[in-house]
Amino acid sequence: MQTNRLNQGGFIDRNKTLRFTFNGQSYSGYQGDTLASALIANGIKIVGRSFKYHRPRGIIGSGAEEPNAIFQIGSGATTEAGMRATQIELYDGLVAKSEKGWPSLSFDIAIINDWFSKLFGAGFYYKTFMYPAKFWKIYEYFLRRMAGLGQAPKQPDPDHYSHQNIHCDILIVGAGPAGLMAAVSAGKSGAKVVIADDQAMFGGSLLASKEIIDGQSSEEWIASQVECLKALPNVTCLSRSTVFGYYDYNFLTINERCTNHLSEFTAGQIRQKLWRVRAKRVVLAQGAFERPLVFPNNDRPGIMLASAVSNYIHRYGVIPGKNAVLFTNNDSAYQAAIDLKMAGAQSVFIVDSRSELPSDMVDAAKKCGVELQFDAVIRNAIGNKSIKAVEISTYDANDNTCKDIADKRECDLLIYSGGWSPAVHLHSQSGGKNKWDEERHCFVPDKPSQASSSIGSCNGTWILEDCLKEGINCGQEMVTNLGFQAADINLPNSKKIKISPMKPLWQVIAKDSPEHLPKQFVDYQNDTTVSDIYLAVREGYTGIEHVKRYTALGFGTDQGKLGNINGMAILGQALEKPIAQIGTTTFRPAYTPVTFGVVAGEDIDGMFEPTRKTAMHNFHTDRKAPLEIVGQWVRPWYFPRDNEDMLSAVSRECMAARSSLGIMDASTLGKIDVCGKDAVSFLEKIYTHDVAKMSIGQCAYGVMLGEDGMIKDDGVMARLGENHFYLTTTTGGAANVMSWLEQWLQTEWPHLDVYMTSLTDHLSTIALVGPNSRRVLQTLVNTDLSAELFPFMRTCKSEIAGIAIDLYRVSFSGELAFEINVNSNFALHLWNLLMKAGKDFGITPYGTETMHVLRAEKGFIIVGQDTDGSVNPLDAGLGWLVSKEKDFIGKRSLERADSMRKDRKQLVGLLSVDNKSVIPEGAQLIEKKSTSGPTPMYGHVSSSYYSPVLGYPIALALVQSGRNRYGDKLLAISSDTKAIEVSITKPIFYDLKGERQRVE
Amino acid sequence: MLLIKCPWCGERDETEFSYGGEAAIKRPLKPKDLNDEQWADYLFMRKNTRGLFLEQWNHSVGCRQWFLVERNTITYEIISTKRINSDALNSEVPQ
Amino acid sequence: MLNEIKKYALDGFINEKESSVISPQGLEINIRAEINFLNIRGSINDSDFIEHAEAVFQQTLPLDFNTFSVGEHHIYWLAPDEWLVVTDHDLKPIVQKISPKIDLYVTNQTGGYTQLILQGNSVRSLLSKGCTLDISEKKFLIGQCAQTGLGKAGILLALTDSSPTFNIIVRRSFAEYVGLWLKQCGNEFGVNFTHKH
Repeated sequence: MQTNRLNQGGFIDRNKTLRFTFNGQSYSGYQGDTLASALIANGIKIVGRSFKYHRPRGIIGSGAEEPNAIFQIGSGATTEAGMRATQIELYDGLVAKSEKGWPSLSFDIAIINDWFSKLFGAGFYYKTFMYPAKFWKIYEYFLRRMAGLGQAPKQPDPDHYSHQNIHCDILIVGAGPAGLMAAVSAGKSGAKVVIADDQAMFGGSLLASKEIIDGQSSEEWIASQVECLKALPNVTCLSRSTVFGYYDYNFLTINERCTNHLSEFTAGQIRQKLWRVRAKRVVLAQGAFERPLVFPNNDRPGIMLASAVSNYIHRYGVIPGKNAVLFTNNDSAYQAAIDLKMAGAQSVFIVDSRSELPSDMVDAAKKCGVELQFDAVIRNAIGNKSIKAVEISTYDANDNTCKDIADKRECDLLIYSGGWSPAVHLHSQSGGKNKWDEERHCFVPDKPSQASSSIGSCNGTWILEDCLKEGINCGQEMVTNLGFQAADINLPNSKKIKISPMKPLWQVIAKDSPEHLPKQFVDYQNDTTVSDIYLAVREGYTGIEHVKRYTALGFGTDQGKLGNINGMAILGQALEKPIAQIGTTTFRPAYTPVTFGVVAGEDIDGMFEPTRKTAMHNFHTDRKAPLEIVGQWVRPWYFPRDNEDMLSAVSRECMAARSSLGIMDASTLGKIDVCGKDAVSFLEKIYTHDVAKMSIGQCAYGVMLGEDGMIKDDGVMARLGENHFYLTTTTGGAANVMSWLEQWLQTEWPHLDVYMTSLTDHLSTIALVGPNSRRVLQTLVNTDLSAELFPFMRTCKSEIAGIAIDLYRVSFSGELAFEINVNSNFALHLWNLLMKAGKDFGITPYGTETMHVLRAEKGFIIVGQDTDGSVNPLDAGLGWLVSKEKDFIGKRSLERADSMRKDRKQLVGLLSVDNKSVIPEGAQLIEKKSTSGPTPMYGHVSSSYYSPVLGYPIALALVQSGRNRYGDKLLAISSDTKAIEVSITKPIFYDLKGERQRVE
Repeated sequence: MLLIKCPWCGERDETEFSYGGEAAIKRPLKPKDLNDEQWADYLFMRKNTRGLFLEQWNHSVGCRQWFLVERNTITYEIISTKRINSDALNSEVPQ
Repeated sequence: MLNEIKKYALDGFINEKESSVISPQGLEINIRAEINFLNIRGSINDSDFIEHAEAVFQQTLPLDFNTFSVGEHHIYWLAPDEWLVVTDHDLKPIVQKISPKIDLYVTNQTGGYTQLILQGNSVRSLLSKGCTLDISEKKFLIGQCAQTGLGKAGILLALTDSSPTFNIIVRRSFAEYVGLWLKQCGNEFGVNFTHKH
């Protein structure tokens, strides 16, 4: 039964009934309701339990400020946690559950926290669950369960989310009276305007008002403004869109909820959108939050903000109570009393802490039969599961004291209002400071730090006419600044009223609550009380940022929307300092919580990271090769035949390459073309070897060092012409090396005439490896491949079946081998030609694993695996590559004392003493005999494989003074296996003289 | 999210750029003439300025050009961007 | 003969069963892999280079940043000393015209790029889902090009006419990602992929 539903009024459709469940119970509401308004219509008072004390809580607000009605919505894969009932538009079939309350809402076992609450002051958890440290996991289990922070879905999110970048002249945040006027005045000038509002309807505070503007009802006036905006092609209107982040350079993010309010939508429809806005100017018109008042038991269900009461009556046709008491220190709250009375409430009684002054609001309230008492406060709220009565005291505003209880009054609704706080969140996020305004008793935005302006009530402007005026002026000023001709806009007519000023009342009992007094809540979501703030001060926390962290004031999804200002003022009282000196805490994005789904957008699953495939990729997948990701590239790992396991496949591939013929896709190598008159002098500085001495057609293995002398990258490079070179880099290092080379060229030696162009994608590289490689290749090319004419480490141009190729006689396996570079468009065809030509020799495609085994047998390093940024070429045994004469990047560092240390870690080989254990990569190397104290660690295993050609395992390692320790025995230890005894050898295991790759 | 003006391509999103650290660290013309301390100073010591800072950025997704950015490290305000060639600090010709 | 053995990055990308009729809001994406790409390097301070390049290609070298010239070929500005020629013509006879006396360097990039041509009312909406550049009508003009990001890949983007038609040139190894990205993100508008031979 919608007992609290009015017969008329509100933006709801009484003909469209919507069913929903709350904590398993079925209810109904109407199209246009929020979940909160529907719950209130159904007479639901308790909607949750508080965070720490598990006290029953009701709905306080009607928007983003709501601290209590935070629910789990939906179930299964689409369930969402932490949703505010005040922001959820009702749809048919909605399922909502309270997040807190275990085992149930009306009986929460943890209410004992409230009975023993003296134990649970601020810092309780920090102090109590510290010891013993290892028990934390057990404490945590129960604490998490009791805290009740909702549940993340366990299944993947089936919904679609997307991102949209947009550039505009002006972004307007908030479509209340000020924002609308700014949009109209800017939009009519022709500027590109985006206006976003988090509500389903534009209008802001006017939606809950009976103001007459330009002779129209506020509803009609909003409609005409929206119509005007929608007719302008340069204006984008976004409703249900929360601007949640304001970052540098006027970059803002908007979360648009496209289908959240629908019970049914077509598959594939986008549920939420993330707008990434770059705006030339930003108008902040988000409005203000009403402040609660702080008095004992001010969290009883049935206590509500005055503005929320007006909202529920006017927007949803719901009356939250029939016998109301309203407690205020300002005039604006009187509207709620008037609205209640007009909606048919039996009695409304206003308790005003101020003395009576002339005011149109007071007169209007009196006129409609509201009772009033001035110089009075509420000093206690009675009623456990819902408000039943209040205790009223007389109050002396001059010395801020409240007298003994004078009166007790029954009620079913307690409305309060402690004045207004501008929503300075986005202004603060943008880097702007706030200043305390002594007249209006609130923080207002100080000078903006970016190109933005705050207008309307988020600028502390409360009067409608002033808000409209600010909107028009702001819009006109901004467009003029941007070079548009500002449109003439007339200030709409609105009623001028006389009000009596608000008088601050930060806490009814202006000191720490004596022990016997019930709790006075400051921050509902975090259960922070007045006592907590005083306790923090007693314990020495005096800065607002410290008190925030100690008491949790303003934490979490609330971000201090309701409690911050009261908390700061109370801290000021405790420290006997004016609030202006307390300052504000930092506001951070997100303004309201945002789902991970919309942050990820469409960058999920296969689209999370681009995967790059070579031109031969289909061959690899046709052969069912397991794939390995290297950098962003996808490479075949090995090519199993039938039901072969990895070890057998790799053994077979290794033996084929060593005994006859293997073929490998090496296309992922970084390839760089270098030309220009100064190519030689540039590369002389880049490589450690003598580039100038290379003849045309010669290849060389080269390493590049960082200026710190450590190996940065390596690869074969070749001289193609007088001023023309071809470089290769490691697969993973390609982009970085290119950018690093360009940095040296452009920033250090811009006078050098050198051009570098990436060939990584254009050229595919096929390695033909093994003693029969020359014989097979010779059947396809006219070039004479004999050792005399095409010896080891040479390159030449050639052709296979009309396809131009570059041939390199280089080897990463130690075998006679050729690398063939070809235009990628022809690569797969050429690969297939080679497969066919090598058939009689058992040509065997191999993947990255066999490549690793073959190179490890020869002691060839992999940068990044056998080096780690602390290995210089001497450590790696590459001293022969380092020129003594010329200067190159990193050379001077090789002469630093640390580089010359005798006990540096050096690359060595390792053999397991039992000749059969494969040593785990990453294993640490220690002495065999046990030592007292910490065990010295001499190094670690960097590469380790079983060598099929040798028939035993081999490994490469970096070991302190390794080259002086050949023959020594050490223990290799890791968490995976038991300790393995190893002996240190030279880092080369096969064909020690290197005859195979140089074969004549 | 910074908006950086590439001296060639104009204003682009921060995501199109990569950072290159402090600018105007001149590589010594004769490294071997430097003692260890002087070399270490060139190699490791950076100003880490609070306030106006001259740094290198690369328009890595765009024209691949390195350029100079004068930026306030407190406010993130970019005061100016300029091409390296036009900057005397970096265009000295080594012997 | 050689044409038949070529394999391009997006061969097999179009699933014939999937191709759909597109709505007026939708867009058409034409995969054009079978063209030639040539990278040019040289100094704009070297008038011989510019003169020679224009003679070799019979077309203006676009010296204005982020623009392209249209003639027998499309020539795109990539960097102050770098351009990309995209052409249907065979590269060999063109490259043979380059004088070794001039500091004009070229690298063939034909195997390294794929071109996609996007047409339709939703092109701007689709691209701005993953591109941070302002590509609105007034800001990104016909004849303009830009190297920028689309999703997580780098692309060269160019506006060739007001229909609007956008060209995307992407590195071979990122072509599949970009194709899938356009397909997935274009789902809400309706996308039809075609191959032009």
